[in-house]
This record gives sequence, C-alpha cells and structure tokens, in this order.
Amino acid sequence: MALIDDLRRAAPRGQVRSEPALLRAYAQDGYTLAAVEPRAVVWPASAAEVAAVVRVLARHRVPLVARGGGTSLSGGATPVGGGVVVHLSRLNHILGVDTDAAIAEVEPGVVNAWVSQAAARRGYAYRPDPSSQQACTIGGNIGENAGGPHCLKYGVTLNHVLMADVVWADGHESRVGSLSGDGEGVDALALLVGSEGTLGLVTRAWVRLLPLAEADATVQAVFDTVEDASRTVSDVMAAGIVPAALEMMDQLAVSAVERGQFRVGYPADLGAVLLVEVDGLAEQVADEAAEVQAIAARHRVRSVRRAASPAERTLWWANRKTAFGAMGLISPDYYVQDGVIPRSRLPEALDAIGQVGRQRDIRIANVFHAGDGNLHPLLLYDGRDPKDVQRVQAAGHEVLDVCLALGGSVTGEHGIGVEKREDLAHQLTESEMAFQRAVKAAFDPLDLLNPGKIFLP
Amino acid sequence: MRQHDRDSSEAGVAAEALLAEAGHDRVAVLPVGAGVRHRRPEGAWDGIPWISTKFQSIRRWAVPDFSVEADAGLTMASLNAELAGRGQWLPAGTPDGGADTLGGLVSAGLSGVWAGGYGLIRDRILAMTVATPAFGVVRLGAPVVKNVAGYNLWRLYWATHGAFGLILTITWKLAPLPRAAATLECAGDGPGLAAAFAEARRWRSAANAWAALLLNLRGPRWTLAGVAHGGDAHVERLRRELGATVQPQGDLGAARAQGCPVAWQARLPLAGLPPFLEWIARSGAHGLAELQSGVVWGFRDSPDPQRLDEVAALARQHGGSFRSLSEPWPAPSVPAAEGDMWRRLKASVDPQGVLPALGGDAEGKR
Repeated sequence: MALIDDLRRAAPRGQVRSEPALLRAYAQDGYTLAAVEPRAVVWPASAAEVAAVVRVLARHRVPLVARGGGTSLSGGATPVGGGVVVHLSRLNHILGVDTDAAIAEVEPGVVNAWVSQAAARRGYAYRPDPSSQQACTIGGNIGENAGGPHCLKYGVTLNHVLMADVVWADGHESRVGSLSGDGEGVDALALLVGSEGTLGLVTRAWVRLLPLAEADATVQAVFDTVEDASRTVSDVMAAGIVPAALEMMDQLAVSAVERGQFRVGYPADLGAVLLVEVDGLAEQVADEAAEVQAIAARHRVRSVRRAASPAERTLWWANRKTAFGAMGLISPDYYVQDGVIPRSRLPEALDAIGQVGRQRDIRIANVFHAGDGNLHPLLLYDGRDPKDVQRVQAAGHEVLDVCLALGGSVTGEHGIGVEKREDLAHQLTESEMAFQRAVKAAFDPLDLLNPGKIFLP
Repeated sequence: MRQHDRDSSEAGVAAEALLAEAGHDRVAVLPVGAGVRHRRPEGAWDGIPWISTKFQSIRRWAVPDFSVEADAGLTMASLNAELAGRGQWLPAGTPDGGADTLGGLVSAGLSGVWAGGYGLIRDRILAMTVATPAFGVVRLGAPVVKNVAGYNLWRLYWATHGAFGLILTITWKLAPLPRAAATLECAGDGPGLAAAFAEARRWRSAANAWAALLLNLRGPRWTLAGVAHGGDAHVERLRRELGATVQPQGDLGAARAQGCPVAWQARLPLAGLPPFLEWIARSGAHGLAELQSGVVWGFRDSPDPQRLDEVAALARQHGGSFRSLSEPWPAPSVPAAEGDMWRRLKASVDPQGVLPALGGDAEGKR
C-alpha cells in the first residue's frame, strides 16, 4: 500500500480512508446512473496538502477526482476513471467578506448558501444560486460553472469568480485571474471555470458580490396551459423587462411539490405556474411587477398576484427549489435532464419533449428556467427495472436531440460529466472536439484529473 | 457529430485559404481591424494582413431571443444603429465613441462605459466563429444564453490579439433599450478627490445600480455623472434626493470624452480605485473612471500621455490590470507558472506559428 502511505504523508493533518464500505458511498454523486468505487478517499486539511496529494498521485500515475458536496447531476464527481477522490470538504472557511471591494474570499468546500448568507448580512449578494445551494460547494460551482434561477439577470459562475488559487495536474500551484476581474494576458481562470475538474483543482477563490437590490417583487401566475405561460414569458422579455428570475413548472411538477414540505396551495388542475421576480429601485420594481401582471392577464391567466410578504415569497421559492427532490414523492426514481434552447422556441420544445415521453411511455415533469430557455425535464422511472433504466436513458438523449435541433445546447448548467459525453459529440463537430481535447492535453497531458469526463474514450 | 464541419461563408473560406497560404509560405498573419487603437508592430514586417473589415454583416439576429451574430469587422456603432430599430442594443460603448470593430473590441480586451450597469462586454459574448490553422473554422460556444458544453474556448480570444486564431463572427447577448434615461451631474474642484468620492458614495447609496457612474478628471476639476436607466419616477426621485443637474438627453453629459481618443485602459479592484484616481488627478492627466466596475481610461489629450509605464505600474500595484491602447500591441503575457501549458496549447492550435505570438511572464501583472 505504498500509495496510501504516501498519501498519508502528504496530508498529515488530513485523513485517508480506503475501507470498502466507505468507498461505496463515493462511487457516485447526484447522477445515479453511473457508479464506480474509488481506490481511496483523501480529505486534505489545507491547500498545501491538496498540492502534496496531487503530486503524490501524479508520481504514482493515479488519477483523481475532486469532490465537494457531491451534488453534480451529470456524474462530475463520479470516479469513472478509477483512482482517488480528493474531498475538499475540510477547506470550508469563508476567509473574508470585503464590502468595500465587493469581494468574498472563500475556500472550495464552502457551501454556496453560506456565502449568500454572509454577504446578505452586509447588504450584498452572491448571485449564482443553483437549486442545490444548501449543499453544493463553491469549488463544485466553479468546476461546473453553476447557474441557478437568478442567473437570468446576473450571469453564471463564470461571471462572478475573479481570482483563484489552483493546483495543476503535476501538483504545481499558481494564482489565476485578477481581483479587478479582468487580468492581463492569457486567462486560465476562464478555462478552469466549467472544466469539471479536468484541468486543475481550486484551493481558494475570490468571488464578486453585488449590492442587494433596494426592492424586489415576486409575481406568481397560474395558467390553464403551458402555451399561455410560454407566451407570457416571451412577452415579458419583449417588453424590455429583464427579470431577476423567470421560472416555470408544469402540472406534473406542481403535483409533486404540492405533496412536499413547502406547499403553496396551487390548484391541482393547473397547466403551468410562472414565478417572475423583478428587482431594482422601488419605483422600477412597482412598475415592472404591475406590467408583468398585465401581460399575464393578456394570456388568459387564471390567477396572478404579487407575493404579499417576504414569508410568502420565500415559500414560493422554497416550493420551486425543492421540485427535483419532490419527484421522489410521485416516482421511485427520476432522471433530471438539462438542455438549453433559444427562449422563443419554448412551445415547440415542450411539445417535442412531450412526444418523447409518449413514445417511450415515460412520465416527464417540466421544471425550468424559462427566461433563459434552460429546460429541466424530469423523467420518472423505476430503477429496479433494467428495461425502465434503458428507456429513460434513451429518452434523455432524445430530449437533448430536441434541444440541438432547435439550435440549443446539451447542457446549460449541469455540465457534460459522464452523462452527456455522447451528446457533446453530437453538438460539436470533429474539429471542435479536437480543439476541446487540445486544451485537456495541454493542461493535463497524462489525463490524471477527472479522466473519463467530457470526452468519450 | 454535427454534419456541417466547415463554415462555408465567404469570410470562413477566405480565412482558411489565408491561413493555409501563410502555413505553406511560413509567413506571419496579422489580424487588422479598424486600426483605431494600436499601431502595427514596429520594425520590418512581411506577413499577410487579415483585414476583418471586409466582412461587416449581421449574420443572424434572433430578435425575440435578444441575441445577434455579427461579423467581427462590423463596427459597434453600426451594429447598435441597426439594433436600435427593434428596441435593442449592445451596451458596449467605449468612452471616446471610437469606431472599434467588434473583433477589435474582443482582441484588445476593451471595456465600455456601461460595464457597471450592464456588465463587461466580455460577459455578453455567447459564441464565436474563428479560423485556426490546426482546426480550421470552428464555432465556439452556442447561440443561447446559458451553455456549459465543454471548455469556454471563446475566452481564449479575449485580449489576446489573435494569438489563437482569426475571429470571424461573434454572437452577443443583447439588452432592451432603456425606456427612459437621464444623466445627473455635479462637479467640483480639487485639491484631492475626497469630495468627489464622498459624493459618489452618496449617489451609490441612493441607487445601487446606475447604468453608468462616471468620474471625469481633468486636472483639478472633476465631474460626476450618473446615468439612470428606468422610468421617469425613478429619475425624479434621484434628482430630488441628490440635488444634481439633470441632462435631459440621457447621454453621458460632460463626462463623455467624445472625439478624444483613449490612450490606455486600466481595471482596478474597487478598493484600489481611490488611490489610483488620486494619482491621476495629481498628475494632471485626463482620465475617466466607471466607479461601479473599476474601469479607468486615460486620454491622449493628457499633458503628458507618455507616462504609460508609470500608470501601468501603479494600476498593478493596486491589484489592477493595464492595457495600452496607443502603443504597438503587446504579445499577451503568460505567467511563468503556466508557461508550459500555454505553450503546448498554442502549439496545438497554431503548429507553424503563423499567428501573433504569446509573450513571456510580466511580473506583477496580477
């Protein structure tokens, strides 16, 4: 066990474990359709230990997978290439929140929501807010270029990370990016964000904070049909309103969340519900919220109203953000997809996805970031039936084919991981794939960092 | 695999032919835009120019989706003139209102006066089509507002002066034109900028999202201009609370340096902005700062515009970045710790070295 001994020497304040029962727990992440046990799990206790661990693994030619909250929905933290899981949960400190500079300095194991909460206490916000924000970590967010409902107005993780300390594949370290947010020369940080842990490991990050808006308002609109809700989305955007968030759930999705912990009391026979959040100066918010309500009224809305209190607004959002988990209340298993289409093609996309479900005899609930065309069809199945698993995987690929046919992308925020390698090869040409592979080869020539991700072998 | 493996546009065909010729003859390719910023590299140069301004079309404008794909040779002013007809715009104007091409903006890494209210120009890029020696014409990114399919390759082309290929088209995320706009102004005299910073803090607390919040410095005199985009009620509230003069056109007012060319651009962390601007004011230079984003520009009508090295060193000392826009363009710097990785990537994309080179490490450039 020379490797394990070397890892223990590299991380003396950390921990190295390799018991079979524990390894099983690290065989997969939030994507449950692939599982491979690692050889060991290491919890380094500092950035220096992370670098030492990576150097040991490079010397032994053993691959590694960095892991944060393990919430990846594309298998980003699943060790399909074997090797060792480098768990960054002990690097979990918020090192500073500087409101003069509007920057938070954090370690990679810090949970997304902790940053938002620390910033909010000082009148600021960290805007990327994936639905898993109570569990996912900043390191994972950087690796996956995470989004969330409020990225419609404020942008994804790439737009909010200023600088980072990185351990590269051979274990050497450097600082990339700039506190100013726009450094000089080549920009390794931009490649690193969204690289799914295949180019380097972030051990510290400086993220941008934004002042909290003076006012906000959330409008809830209940429709009899998805088509009416989709037309409302198009008209809100066409009116020149840029909502902070614009979310939609269809009937099946609502039927699940209404069985969960955060019940809003939506009617059981609705077609779709929209949540539209606007923020800014008080006068602007009042005008825009009223206009959103008026637009919904032009599209046969059944009911439309503005949240009457912060508590009501919080309930509406909690209901929406727990939609994925709520699928467990109506199905033994669910498979969440993540495709993007041009927003104006929303009705066509939903029709086509419905057709996939009917052809494959699979129930599909739809929860999505309607404002930016980012769809999250939830395919319901029974994982105990191997044929059901095959059908749902095939249907997932067909959903992504729909997105590509409409001029979109196979992933808006979950990443390629192990799940969508084949779909990426559908989206890109051979030359474009070769360019992508050239980056991986340049930064990790021995293919030791999270191998088996993004690219088919 | 997607079937259309080659960009069959005229620009794509021409770019591939030019790169093939350069590779065959072992000569350098020099990307040229409108020529309003950098001079060509000094000394004898016997390469082939790639004149991007031969191609100036809007390729695809998805009006309901607020996105547009335009040729790199189109100027930003031309693009915005077209977009305005449908109530949209690309909030990316440089302070001198320069006739930059879209490709030039990207290659030089320019920031605009709307960076505080609308984000950096860079963050509005959704996709690009580029011509590379090794991979031919490729599309990077996707024409949708969210996309994490693979590495962010289009970011290789930001501020790297064509070192990784020729930019053919850029797809942008657009914004709706504001329904109402007004510029509020106040002015003061030195010595020092304490009064200006105090006023700016008061303005930021009155509205934490100005479309632009600009401090114009000319010797001892300063002008603070806040551009509000929104409705009449909100502009009236700001005028009442701030006691500022309202410029009815909603233009950048006295802060705008229209017609006066930019000599350099810096970007400072917000904490480093005050000492940097104090130095600019003391030096008597003509500068303009967008106070929400930390972007600062210096102009060629400054009394001593040749002190670029001093300005650059000061910006870096305060944790910022610096770009000269008047000298021959610099090779993009590569930190020593990342040198091998970048050289391998450059060799993969440009194996014969026909594109502009990467530079070495530049100490203190973080």
